[in-house]
Amino acid sequence: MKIYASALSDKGPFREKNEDYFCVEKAPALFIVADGIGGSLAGEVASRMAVEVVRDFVAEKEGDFRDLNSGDEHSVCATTLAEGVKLANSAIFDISQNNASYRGMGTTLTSALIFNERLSVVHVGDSRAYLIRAGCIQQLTDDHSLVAEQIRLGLITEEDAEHSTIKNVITRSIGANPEVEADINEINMADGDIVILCSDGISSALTNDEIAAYGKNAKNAEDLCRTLVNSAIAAGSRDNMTVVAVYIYKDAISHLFNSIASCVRRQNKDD
Amino acid sequence: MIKVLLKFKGNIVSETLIKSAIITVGRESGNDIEIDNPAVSGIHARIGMEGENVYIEDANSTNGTFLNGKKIEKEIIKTDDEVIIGKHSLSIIELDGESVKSGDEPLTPVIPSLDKTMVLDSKMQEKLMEPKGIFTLLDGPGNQKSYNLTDRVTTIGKSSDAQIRIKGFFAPKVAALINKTDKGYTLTPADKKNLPKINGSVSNEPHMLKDKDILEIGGLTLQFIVK
Repeated sequence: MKIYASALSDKGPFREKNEDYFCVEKAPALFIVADGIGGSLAGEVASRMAVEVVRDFVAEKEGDFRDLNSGDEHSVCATTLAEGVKLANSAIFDISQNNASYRGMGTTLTSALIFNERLSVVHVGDSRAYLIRAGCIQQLTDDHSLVAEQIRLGLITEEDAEHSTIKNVITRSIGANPEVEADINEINMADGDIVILCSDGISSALTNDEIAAYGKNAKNAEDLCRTLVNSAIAAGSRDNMTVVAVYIYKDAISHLFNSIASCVRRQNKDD
Repeated sequence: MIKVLLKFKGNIVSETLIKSAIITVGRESGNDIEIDNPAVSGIHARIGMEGENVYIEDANSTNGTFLNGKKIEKEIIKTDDEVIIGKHSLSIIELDGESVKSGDEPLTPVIPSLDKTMVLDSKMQEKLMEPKGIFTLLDGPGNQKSYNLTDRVTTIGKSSDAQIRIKGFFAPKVAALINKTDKGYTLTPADKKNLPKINGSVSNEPHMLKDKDILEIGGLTLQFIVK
């Protein structure tokens, strides 16, 4: 299996600084997006710390991943990621408690780990993971946000949510409480899959169908990141924007075929 | 340790551990398991251990003791069995450390009693609230008789990566995707030329699956069941 990944983070035209943070790691294949919360420097510190703690923890535990038949509900990879998230939570919570300038800081975090053709997604907050499979887009994360909760309870519709004024209120974050529960989702990877992680600067400006359409037309991971950020800005996103795009090829021939096909599509579009 | 559950109309009324060699079931007070009902004899039945086995013996009761619908004198009872005495039912569970053995599937958490007010911790609550969807194959050349939808996304298609496999030369690699969200299971058609039928009508929009929905796709007829 071949994995191609690219990432792009942009503070956007309206923000002074970028409080998003991300990482793209090769071995093991780990991708994280975090969107920091908190005044002055705190948001930047929280998102960066969370990403680094999880990244380092996963690197340290990589040797355990072989033991895939844990017999538990989730794979060792997924539970390791979730442990890393808990660790990041304690670290950030401790600092915010003991340091006045960091009080109230926190972050979202959405992480994806690919091992043995299986993808584990662990998240807290409203940064999203998407899967585009055969042109069809599926959300791999449920937002921990007030509007998502309202939709779940049947108080508002998905359409109402698009125009909600409390879109940015999240119900779970890393660093706000001494303990945090992360959601775990797992899937098997298929040939031609595209996995996207992004902060809400992207997902609140673009609909899932728009993201799917950009995924279909993009040349490669780098092109998709650029397109999504530019489109989100064009759609009026006022937030920081971060995208990680991951392309999965299970065999070399399909990779070649896909790149030729996307070149042809690209040319047709330019004509 | 063996625990005997006494139920009335599906609700657990009492739970009794078998601590001595024999315990008694009856209407009179002094029985280990007391059933206050005129259909039950003073001392109605005995439950005891013979080696590893748990047995139930009718104590010459007026209205009889029934095991899985059959009147019995003395019979060994297993965890899946149901004993009826009057309008009440008895069943046993084995307590092995903290885990509860009941058949092969210790998957669903045991809910102690629904008449009593109880507090669930959030983890338990999520487990109970979380729908567990399965597709059972009603008709067609499926690769399995039933499919547990445990992953976040399940693929229906011809692709070797698909969990629910369909056949045929014109069958699409990916015909539909099922997403297990916090709101339930959503089925999204992925191939415009091979749209699925849900409960008899063709669908090209994402569909929130409901218990007992019938899905026809790529020559398969599947029923969605929520456990």
